[in-house]
Amino acid sequence: MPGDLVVRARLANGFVLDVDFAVPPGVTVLFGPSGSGKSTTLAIIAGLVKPTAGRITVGEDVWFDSGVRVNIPVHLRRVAFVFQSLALFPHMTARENVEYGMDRALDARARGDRAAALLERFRVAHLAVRKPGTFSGGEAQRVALARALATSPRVMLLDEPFSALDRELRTELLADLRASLHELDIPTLFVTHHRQEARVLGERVVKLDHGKVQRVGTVEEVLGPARDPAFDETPLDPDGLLRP
Amino acid sequence: MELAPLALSLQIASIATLLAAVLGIGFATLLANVRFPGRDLVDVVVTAPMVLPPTVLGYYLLVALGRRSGIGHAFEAIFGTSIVFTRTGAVVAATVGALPLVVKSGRAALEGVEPNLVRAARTLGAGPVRAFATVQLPLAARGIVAALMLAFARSLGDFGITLMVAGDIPHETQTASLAIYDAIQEHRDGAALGMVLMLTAVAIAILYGVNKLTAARDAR
Repeated sequence: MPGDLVVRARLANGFVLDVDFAVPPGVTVLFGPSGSGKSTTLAIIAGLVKPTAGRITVGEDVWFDSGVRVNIPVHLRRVAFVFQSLALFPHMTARENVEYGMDRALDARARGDRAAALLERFRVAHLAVRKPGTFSGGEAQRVALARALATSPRVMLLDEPFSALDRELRTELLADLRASLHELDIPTLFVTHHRQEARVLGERVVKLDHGKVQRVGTVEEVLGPARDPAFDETPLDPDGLLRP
Repeated sequence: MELAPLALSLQIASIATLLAAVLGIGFATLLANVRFPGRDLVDVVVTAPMVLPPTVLGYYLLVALGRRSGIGHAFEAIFGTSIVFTRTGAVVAATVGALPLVVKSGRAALEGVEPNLVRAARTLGAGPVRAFATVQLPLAARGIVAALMLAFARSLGDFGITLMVAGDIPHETQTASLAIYDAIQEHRDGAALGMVLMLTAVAIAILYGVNKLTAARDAR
């Protein structure tokens, strides 16, 4: 039974962050300008960055609690993390990448079957025995998603995974991803600063600015009613030229 | 041509490279991945042999490992032979000379691995040891192998530290570098030239191999 992800975290050294929000099962978009603390928030949830103070829980499980000095290490949290850079292992084939995070109690055959099914679902079965160096942007993206989902995660975190793709590919991938996430039904945080992506994927939006939660609500409440999609997307820096 | 000093050099350099590999990769990993107090000091101490005069290093080793030192005494009690002025001493000398190369290059190779790859491994359920062994180490392997080849070349050519710690005992600690010096002193120019050419060939072959390895890494 999936539980809510509840995040209350403060970071005081270097980057200043102070966030407090809950993520129910389903997709919540973490929205905000560059430097607003979106990626840092994900890193804190995953356990890659230790907050100065706070409490992070998933359902009944406590992942971090500065009050009682609990800090479950990254590898025991079971978060599926899709990095902006994707971080596919360059020395492993697509199948080995996908199998990396699977339960090691499974035998090799079961792992292989599961990897094949995941690659199939993301329509990259033909890449199974190839290494990431030869993948196109969209292909690498699909393998990264398959790998993240192979771990039977409790929480899924996606850090602007589509930022490097052109619009057409992005739309196609968003549709595939939406179907998988719907099926998975775990708390999912999707970081983006694209309104269009937020509208396609998100059920809820948490808006960050300057390291603080500015607003929480439905997509319409936070981002306003859908306007002409062309207007929504075009001025928002589709090529990423304005980002640092 | 005198083959005994060359054979001895190869034997000593092989063992020294093995020791420098184990110690050096250990230090490189520690320095690259773990934040601990005194890290900079460890870095300086481990790389000091690169800049200290061989005689100074040799002096320290004599004091630390000599028959009257704690370590030297314990070693002799266990193995029945002293460290200094034996083949063991020659291995220690070559290891100390090679260690900084392994630590410096090994650390650079490990730190050169994209940090997000290690983080990705961790989020996929790998503990720190598994993430190191399956992601960071394999991706740094070329750099580390190149470092070990340089370490071997360095061990093969050591002169000063070996002379200080192990002396120049024929068939025991007289490595090729020392034998060349002796041959020149004794006007056996032919013998010297033979060993000079052999050592040069080995060193050039190793450098060629290292360049090949690192070029392949840059191209990737």
